[in-house]
Amino acid sequence: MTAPSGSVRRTPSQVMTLDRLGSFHPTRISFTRTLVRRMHRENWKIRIADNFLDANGFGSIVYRIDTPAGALSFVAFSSSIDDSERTDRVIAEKWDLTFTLFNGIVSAQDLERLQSQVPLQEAGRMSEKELVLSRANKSMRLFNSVVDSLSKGRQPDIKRISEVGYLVRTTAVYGNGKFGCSDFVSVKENSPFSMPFQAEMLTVYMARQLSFDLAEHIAQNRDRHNAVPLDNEFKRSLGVGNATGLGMAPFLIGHPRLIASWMSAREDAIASVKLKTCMPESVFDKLQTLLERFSLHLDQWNTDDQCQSERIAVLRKELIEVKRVSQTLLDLKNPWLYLAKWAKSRTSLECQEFVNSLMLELNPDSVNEYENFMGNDETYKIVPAMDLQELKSLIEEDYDWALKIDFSKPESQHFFWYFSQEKEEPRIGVRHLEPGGEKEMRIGVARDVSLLYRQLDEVSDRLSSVKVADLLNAYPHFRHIITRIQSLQGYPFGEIRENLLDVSCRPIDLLRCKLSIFGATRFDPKSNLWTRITLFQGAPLPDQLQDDDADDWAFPVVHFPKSSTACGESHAR
Amino acid sequence: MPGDNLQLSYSESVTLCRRVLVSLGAPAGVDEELAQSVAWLASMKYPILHELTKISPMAKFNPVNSACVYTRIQINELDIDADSDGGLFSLPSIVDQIITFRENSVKSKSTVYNLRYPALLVPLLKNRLRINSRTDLSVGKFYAVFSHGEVMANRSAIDSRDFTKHAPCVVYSDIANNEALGKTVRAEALKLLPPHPQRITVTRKLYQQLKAIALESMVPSTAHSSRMGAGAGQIDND
Repeated sequence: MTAPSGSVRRTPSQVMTLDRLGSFHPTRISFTRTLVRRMHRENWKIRIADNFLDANGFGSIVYRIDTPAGALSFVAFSSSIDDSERTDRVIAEKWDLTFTLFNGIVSAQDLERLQSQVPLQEAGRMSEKELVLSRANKSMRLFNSVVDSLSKGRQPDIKRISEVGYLVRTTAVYGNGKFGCSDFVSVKENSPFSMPFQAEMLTVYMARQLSFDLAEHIAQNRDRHNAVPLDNEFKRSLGVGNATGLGMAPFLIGHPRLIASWMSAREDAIASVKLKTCMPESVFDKLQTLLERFSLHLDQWNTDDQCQSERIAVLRKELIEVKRVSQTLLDLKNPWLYLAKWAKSRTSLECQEFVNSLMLELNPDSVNEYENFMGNDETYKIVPAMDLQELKSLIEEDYDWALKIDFSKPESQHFFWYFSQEKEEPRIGVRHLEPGGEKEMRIGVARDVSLLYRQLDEVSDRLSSVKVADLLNAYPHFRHIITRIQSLQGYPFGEIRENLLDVSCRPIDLLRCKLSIFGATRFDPKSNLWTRITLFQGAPLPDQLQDDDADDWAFPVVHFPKSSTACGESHAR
Repeated sequence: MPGDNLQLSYSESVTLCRRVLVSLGAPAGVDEELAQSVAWLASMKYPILHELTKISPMAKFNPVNSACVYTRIQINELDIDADSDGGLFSLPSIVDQIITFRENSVKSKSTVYNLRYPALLVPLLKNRLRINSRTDLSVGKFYAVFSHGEVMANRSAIDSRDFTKHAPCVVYSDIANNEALGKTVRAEALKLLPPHPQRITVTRKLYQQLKAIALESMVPSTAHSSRMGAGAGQIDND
């Protein structure tokens, strides 16, 4: 596959800014969508293999997932915890639910071992059979009320379903060798997963199913005669929550080649759509349907965050204009290019990125293949034989954005990011007020580039004759940044082109970027450092994976139940 | 998990080693390369993790001191004499010098230095490797060993029995098949190449020692940082 023409592809300087990244919406090549399409394509089967839950829903439950590449097991443990022990942060030590994705079929011996380790999470030890380790807490706003309704033979209150969007909320999803789990290099060879985060996404999808089964199980045991199952329409309207903090940000900085792959695939896909020269009527019709659905999606996007609320309000107004412009597209020669240009000149970043997601959604034939480019065998290699003149030129070409920042100003290094000794929780501190700046994470790419550049200035008369190896002899602390600069040649989307130490930095933008690539919706920031989101809302249930519309769940909305038992309060949408 | 031993995944071994090296003061970037190397050697059952616990975070990483060490490195064709106590932590830069030297001057020599992670110079001593011993480092010769199976050294100067005994000395086939570079590589060496990095077995005691050192690379928690640093409350009943 060749990359689309550069003239329609956005440049890294246009894309890799915090305000732009912080406006991303999920797309059809987000990881959740990719996984569901694969499950649909390969006819994956999911069922409960063993249920050892007691009447209150505590105990263990094992799901079996059959794929063409072998069987997997999702093994979950449900525990009783006190409300005072429930926190979404890494510092938590107890959770309502803990689970693992196991490569193969669990034996009784495996189950015994997992029972002793999985509930401990970070304090436990996994084996190479475990692909992912994770946990979740119940939504106190919704879980118990859903159980209560079901046990009384009623469907739950749709207003609450719409407000919350999930029954349980994951608080960490560990893969790639964490705490003894299988390394990704081994996962690729020995399991059905060859692309990053697919095993993690399956785990989250299974947590969603677990939440439904758990609620129904408890309701059934509470009143065997009157209890009803949760209506499928409700289930499909519910996703699984996630609470995410600062840990995602250092991941984005620490894996620049992987990020470059994600961004390049996304931008290439958008550019390929812009190059289309017509819009078939069937696509036009679908466009109108999706615009209506997105309108509803916005109405159901609840957040207390003032900034996000204001952005949604603006987007709601802009959507009216998008609908108006969309009516003109059928007759245009380059309809998508026109729409993108119009959005860029007339709408907010939030709306521009919605339009991009919309364009991708409506062109699966040319877009879906980009999901295969979301991986990268990351290799970072220093080139010690490079002379310093070449290194300097490289910096001037690729890091001009960093050289423009004045790091002599205190506000340019206001924040430092660090791991706390308290369960290695990622945190952020104010440099001139808090201790620990000397142990900061390597987040300050712009600053480090700037320092290196100044150092090169000091030997400006000898740049052509001095090698990187010589510089590192005298200044070994530049090794990391030089390796980074050299390794990112040819990876223009690898760097977030901002100073993440600056007083104006909003880490929440980084979180939204990564979460949108995962497929998250309903961003609900709790601060500039923390957000709740929903994954898999609208996704087909396991027994719906073979339905024709299994891939049609972009911009998810809460659906009214169709069954007669669905008699909860049904508020107008 | 019962028993005195733990199995670490390869990637968590790399992370753990990197944090240990950061705690010991390894410069940014040096820690990353050495962590790759140490983990790889450990996965090949080379007893190097124990050595990490013996290093005291003294002036090993002092740039001034290191600079002195570096200037005294002599590159004599392919053997390197490091007649100082630069030890483990100068080594990536020593490898830089080898690569630079090779690319400028020695392409036709019968040595393989096709590197991805220039890693670690392992003294092929008769006795166990002792990293921070001035005495040990000042004797014998160093030969390059590189992680991820990319190797390595002047084969003609090395007794192959020492290699198999002391270090995982394996090569990628693309190197071995390269006529210019691979003519000294023996076929049996290829058999040693692992399919991918292996898991690492450590004792609980060693693991705890390494974790304790690694913790020093992180910032002690305070009431303020616990309350404000993560951006979320300490109790969260949603």
